[in-house]
Amino acid sequence: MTGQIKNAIRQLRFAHGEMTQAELAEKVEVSRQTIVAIEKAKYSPSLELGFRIAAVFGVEIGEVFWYEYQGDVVQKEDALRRHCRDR
Amino acid sequence: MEYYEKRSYVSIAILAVVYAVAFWHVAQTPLLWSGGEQALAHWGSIFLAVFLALVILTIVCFSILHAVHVRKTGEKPTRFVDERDQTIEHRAVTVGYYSFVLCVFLTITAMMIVPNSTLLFIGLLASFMVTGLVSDVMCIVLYRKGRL
Repeated sequence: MTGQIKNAIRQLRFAHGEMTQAELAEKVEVSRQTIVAIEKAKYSPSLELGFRIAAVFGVEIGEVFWYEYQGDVVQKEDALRRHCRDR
Repeated sequence: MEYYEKRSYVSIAILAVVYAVAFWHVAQTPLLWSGGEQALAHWGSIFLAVFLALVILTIVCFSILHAVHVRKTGEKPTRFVDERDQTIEHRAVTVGYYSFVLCVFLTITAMMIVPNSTLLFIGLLASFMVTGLVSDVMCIVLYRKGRL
């Protein structure tokens, strides 16, 4: 099963007074480039960093990060198509 | 450009300078090609000199880079190393390790074909150089590529 970790950091930053990437980086004690990489889903942060980011926005970690099972979605769609065709 | 990316460029420059001087010295010293006991002692001093030069130049250049980076960006030193930097460094060191193993293997294989102590030492010196270069280039590639 393949997939990707998605996040809502960008939306949450704008919802929290248009917080800049540098400000968020400062609060969670990482470099701005790391925040850029996380936002673009080019780097999956550790659980600890994930919790720290969620804490900055005052939300649960699941509201910041979630996992999208791409393969699973495709498999389900294929199964559904096969099921419709067979009927 | 990120701090660690800059550091990799500086490291490549240091490696290039030190190993260029070392290989130039090897090429200019006929004693090293004789294969006697004196040659072995000289090889020992070359390896020691290369090691010391790398350590000293790395400390000096990185300190200068650090000072310049702090002055330019105003970032505190503790903020430089985060988990992504560590992950990139870990991957680069791993690739460097495999390249070192490969280089040593090739050197030993070459020794089986041409049994010559000079070849062994040149091979070892080149192995250290390639390992350092591969690690630094890998660091730059991972920073540029972005995805980990």
